[in-house]
Amino acid sequence: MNGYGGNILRINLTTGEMNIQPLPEEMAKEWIGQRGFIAKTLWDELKPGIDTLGPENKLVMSTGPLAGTLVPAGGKVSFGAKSPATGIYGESCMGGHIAAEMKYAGYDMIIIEGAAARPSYLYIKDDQVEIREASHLWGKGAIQAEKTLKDELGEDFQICTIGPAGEKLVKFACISHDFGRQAGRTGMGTVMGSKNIKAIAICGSNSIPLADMTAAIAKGKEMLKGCFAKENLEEWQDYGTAGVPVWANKIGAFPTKNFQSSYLEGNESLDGKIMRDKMVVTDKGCFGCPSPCGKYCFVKPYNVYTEGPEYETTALIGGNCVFTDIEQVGYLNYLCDELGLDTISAGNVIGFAMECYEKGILNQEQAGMELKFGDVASFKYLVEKIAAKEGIGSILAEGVKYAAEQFGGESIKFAIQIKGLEWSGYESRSAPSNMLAYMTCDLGAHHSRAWSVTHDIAVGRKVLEGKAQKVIDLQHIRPFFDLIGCCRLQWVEIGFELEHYPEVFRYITGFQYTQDDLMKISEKVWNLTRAFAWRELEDYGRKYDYPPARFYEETVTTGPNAGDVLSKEALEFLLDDYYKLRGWDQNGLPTREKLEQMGLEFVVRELEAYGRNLS
Amino acid sequence: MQIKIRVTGLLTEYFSAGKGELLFSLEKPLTVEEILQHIKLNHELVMTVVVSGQRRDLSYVPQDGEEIVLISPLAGG
Amino acid sequence: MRIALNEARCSGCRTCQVICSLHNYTENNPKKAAVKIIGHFPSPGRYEIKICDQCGVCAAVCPAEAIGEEDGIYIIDKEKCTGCGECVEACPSGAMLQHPAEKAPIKCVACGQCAELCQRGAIYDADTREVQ
Ligand code: SF4
Ligand code: SF4
Repeated sequence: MNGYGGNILRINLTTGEMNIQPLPEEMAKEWIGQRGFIAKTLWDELKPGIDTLGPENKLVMSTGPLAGTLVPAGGKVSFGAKSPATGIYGESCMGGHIAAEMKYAGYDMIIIEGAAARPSYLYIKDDQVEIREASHLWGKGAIQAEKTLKDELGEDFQICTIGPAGEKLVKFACISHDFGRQAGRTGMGTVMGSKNIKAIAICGSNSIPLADMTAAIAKGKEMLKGCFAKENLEEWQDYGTAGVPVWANKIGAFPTKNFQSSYLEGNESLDGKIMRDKMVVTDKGCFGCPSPCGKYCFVKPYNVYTEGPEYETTALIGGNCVFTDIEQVGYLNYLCDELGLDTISAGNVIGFAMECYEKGILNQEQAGMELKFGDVASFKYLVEKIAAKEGIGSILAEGVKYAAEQFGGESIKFAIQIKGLEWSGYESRSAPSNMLAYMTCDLGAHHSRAWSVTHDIAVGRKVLEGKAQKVIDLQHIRPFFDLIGCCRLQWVEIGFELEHYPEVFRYITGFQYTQDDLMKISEKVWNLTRAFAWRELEDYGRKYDYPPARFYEETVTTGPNAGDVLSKEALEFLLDDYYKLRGWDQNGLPTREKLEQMGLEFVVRELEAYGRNLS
Repeated sequence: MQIKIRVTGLLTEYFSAGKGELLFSLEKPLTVEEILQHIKLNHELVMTVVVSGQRRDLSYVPQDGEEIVLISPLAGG
Repeated sequence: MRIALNEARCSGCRTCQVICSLHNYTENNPKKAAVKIIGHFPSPGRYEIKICDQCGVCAAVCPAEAIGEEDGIYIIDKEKCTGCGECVEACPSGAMLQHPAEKAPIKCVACGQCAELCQRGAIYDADTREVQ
């Protein structure tokens, strides 16, 4: 099928059975790819209520039709499963080269079921698929394991791995690839670990058929050159997202001291320019990327190599745990990467523990040592305890929400998460639309679906009207890139125009979709993942959409937005508006009418079968 | 004197001129921040100022005929 | 067209490989590209580019005399090639490769497509561009 690898690979680790089925054309047309395929597959194949770490859960890896082609930055793959962090729909996206590789091997989706009896890795060379012994990799760092396998299998293999944290089932373990790219969020590395799979190695030698070869080449070139010509490309390449921390601090959005503040004193020394001078050894990009954001670093004082720190890491390890020395952040980034931990959640959990200690909720005996913000030894101690699930680490490894429930006191108020997923890099008490974006993200507190801090600044930070609509629009556009297998940063960061995508999509797949059609499909997926959460949790709805009390009860402590708080009334207004515009009921659940309008009749039937009352 | 202002990325959406480029005449030298006030562009929307390939900040005073590129804030990883 | 390299600039995107296969084989398949990108990670953290420098060793060793020269560019005659792989073995740059679906090895013909699309200037045309 044009634009597609053409097949779905299914591997049952318990029985050792595997099969390769052609990708149904209906599926491609209806769900495009990647996140669309994942959401549909998990809906169809997962029984509600299953144990996220049991063999009944499935790990689905999928990419989209533009991946591996000449379209700029077609190098994205997503992993999906029922999330061990949130208990609802989980998904995380990652760059690098493995998305393209799986298509050359002939696959748009790989469904991993059951669990292997012994530590194993998946070896996939075109249609030769094997479950191989991985005891020699078990226990190794994520990056080290990738290196070992690469040396064994050769340069032509693209490999993703988990670290010790994934093996130990830490709830925020990531999947790592290309020596520094991660699918970090919602515990996809945890699911991989629960299946006893240390790595997936893929090598493909086939071509991707294109509907209109000549037009696809011409358009691909035009798009690439369009990106090359952007004024800010050079700036972007020099610093990647590392150019952002200073700006985020200036406008008061930089997570600081477990989100007590949005302003970090001394943040200028985290600037991309300083990072570049001190540590960057090469720019590193994903497949087909015209604007490589990876800053590959050598951190001299610690003698380690690491990719990044990119913005999120600098925000959550730097700001949130109060480190202003970029080399320290680089080192801690390295530790997380080898251990296989999501730096966003790790920075949250550790910042939270430090605050608990400061407030006396945790004492030295419980913690195992004195914990201090800005102390490398404290961070290192905690991150290693977490990955090993030892002592205090065994509680923190379950995520910030669970830890707060154990520690008690007021700590749940400053456990910075939504739906059980720790917050990514923007403090948003002074940015209502961005707060709403976090509140309504289907995964939990993550910025990947919508990010709108600039919108709040442009139309007024206190304004609430119109914010919900902006968030909704973005929730369709941004994750649209996670349907097609492309990076969104060319659009978001260097201003490459959206209009190009439907056109090139036609040349590659032959499907005649307009921009609107594609956005409709994106909206359909949005409704499906919301329904997924409801099918899992009978009481799902509005009450799962609130941020922690810190954001509506406590004011920002320092910086330009000191004194700001977003009142509960404001949150209610935002949610009311949002649900209404989405065509959902007041409790934030999709209505029958909305689901039918989206062509999701099968969802209506299923929800009813599980006794959910649709309005 | 006259300078040329260009904006990129998401900034274009909020650029009052409605497109990516604007010629701006001024009588006396002004800082970038002051110029932004004149064109009613919130300086918080500007992450970086680039003048002839050099990274500058909001206090930079552009020379006659210079082109300043305003880079909008990015959107994380 | 004189292909030159500045490896330190390579970001490993493999756009060069995609366009190479599209242009020379009308296939979207980087495994059929005549340029190879090798990452050296985690240390020392750099990319290596393998591409033919038209030295002619392949032509000299080919037992079927299938590789001819034209304006300094060595081109394989696919009719004559027996697929023995001698040239691949002999190539001092390690820049020739074999693909299971192709009898003749894959070799650079200096079309310059890679240089056109290498935004980083890691592969460039030394005839038209100064060393970066
Ligand atoms: S912008 Fe960054 S994340 Fe996106 S494709 Fe390029 S290197 Fe990868
Ligand atoms: S196009 Fe340029 S930067 Fe990209 S892999 Fe090829 S040589 Fe490297």
